[in-house]
Amino acid sequence: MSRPGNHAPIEAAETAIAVFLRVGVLACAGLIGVSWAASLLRSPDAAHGTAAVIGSLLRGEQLEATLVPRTPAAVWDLVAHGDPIGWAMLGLMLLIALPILRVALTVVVFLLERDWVYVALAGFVLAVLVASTLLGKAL
Amino acid sequence: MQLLRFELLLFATSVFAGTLGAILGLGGGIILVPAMTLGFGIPIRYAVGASIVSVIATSSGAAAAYVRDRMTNIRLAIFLEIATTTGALAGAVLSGLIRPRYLYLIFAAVLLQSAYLMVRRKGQAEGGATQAHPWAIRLKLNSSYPDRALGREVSYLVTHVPLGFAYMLAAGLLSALLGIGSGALKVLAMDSAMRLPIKVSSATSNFMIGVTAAASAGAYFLRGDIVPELASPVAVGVLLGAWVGTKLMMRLPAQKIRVAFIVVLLVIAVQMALRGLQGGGVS
Repeated sequence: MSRPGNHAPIEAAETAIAVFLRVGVLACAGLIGVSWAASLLRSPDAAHGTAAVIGSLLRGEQLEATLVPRTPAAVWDLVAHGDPIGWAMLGLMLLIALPILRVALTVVVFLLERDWVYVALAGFVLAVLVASTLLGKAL
Repeated sequence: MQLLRFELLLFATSVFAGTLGAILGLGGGIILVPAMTLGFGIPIRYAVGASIVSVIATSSGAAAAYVRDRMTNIRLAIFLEIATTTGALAGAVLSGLIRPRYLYLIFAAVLLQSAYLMVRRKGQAEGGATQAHPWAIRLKLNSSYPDRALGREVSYLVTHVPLGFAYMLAAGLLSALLGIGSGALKVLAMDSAMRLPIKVSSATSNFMIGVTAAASAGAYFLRGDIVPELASPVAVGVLLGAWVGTKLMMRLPAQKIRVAFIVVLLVIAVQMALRGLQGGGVS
């Protein structure tokens, strides 16, 4: 017969993780928001890249590869030059990483609970997340 | 100047989408992608990229509420996330290969389905599985939740697990292709197929949306489909809108808004379908 599984310890840990996640989202949103606002307040010369991007988008065009940062290195480069768009992109990158972090922490939780089946399941989800990021790029 | 006006308009649109999404229990993506493509003429690949980031933000931000309330079935969420992320992986790969016009057509179909589900939602039956699926027992999926109205813990069984899994594959695929949360489809999988109580289905579905979206977001980022000038106002706007929406929820006539929205969904569905039939513009 089926008894409900004991979910209580998992729930407590996942609640902590979820609260941490919410803090992370707000922090990222703050970084993104402030950076984005800063990017808008730049002089038209300094905002050249952004103006080109918006112009192209509104004409329904594909963007030139150089106009969109797409690697951590490219983002870091912008940040190092003090470009607010770089900071915004950093915030966006961290935002995307948050759910992946959540799953990784969940693997740890199940390890501590010695629930090997779920270590495997959550680990599989983590693997798919990583694979999807890399595979999606390859094409 | 044009740049500032566009960015502020996009931000305002995102706030609106977030608010509406929170009130109706729908994702902002359903509103945002058509707004960006039909409204601003932005190529759909960048609209999807911006939208998927906002989906991650709202889902991850809200997750704490669902887990703390003990409505979310975490083991079930993880198990089903295998399906949603696998579907999302397929979707992320496909989206690089598929022609944009098909994205418009698929989007139109999803909008129609969402409208249909919203109409149907009125008379939702409560859970009621009488026999658990063998997998539910093996994987300890059966659980219970606190029912406020009854004032006690209510146990439930999980059934038709493989069917739910299949629904979730589709939900992940659509999420990745269209930049939406696919919450409606996830709830359908848990409510109709696996017979979970509706509150548990809702909470668990919302819990899963962020992880599903993250599966495709990484790919979009590396492909250069996440444009900071778009994704920034969208992500922040939707979060703000969602917060406003939850505050306003009690005071607004949800039913009337729901009806109005169903009409809007149908109109947008037609527009998106037309765009797809006309060739989808440039990708």
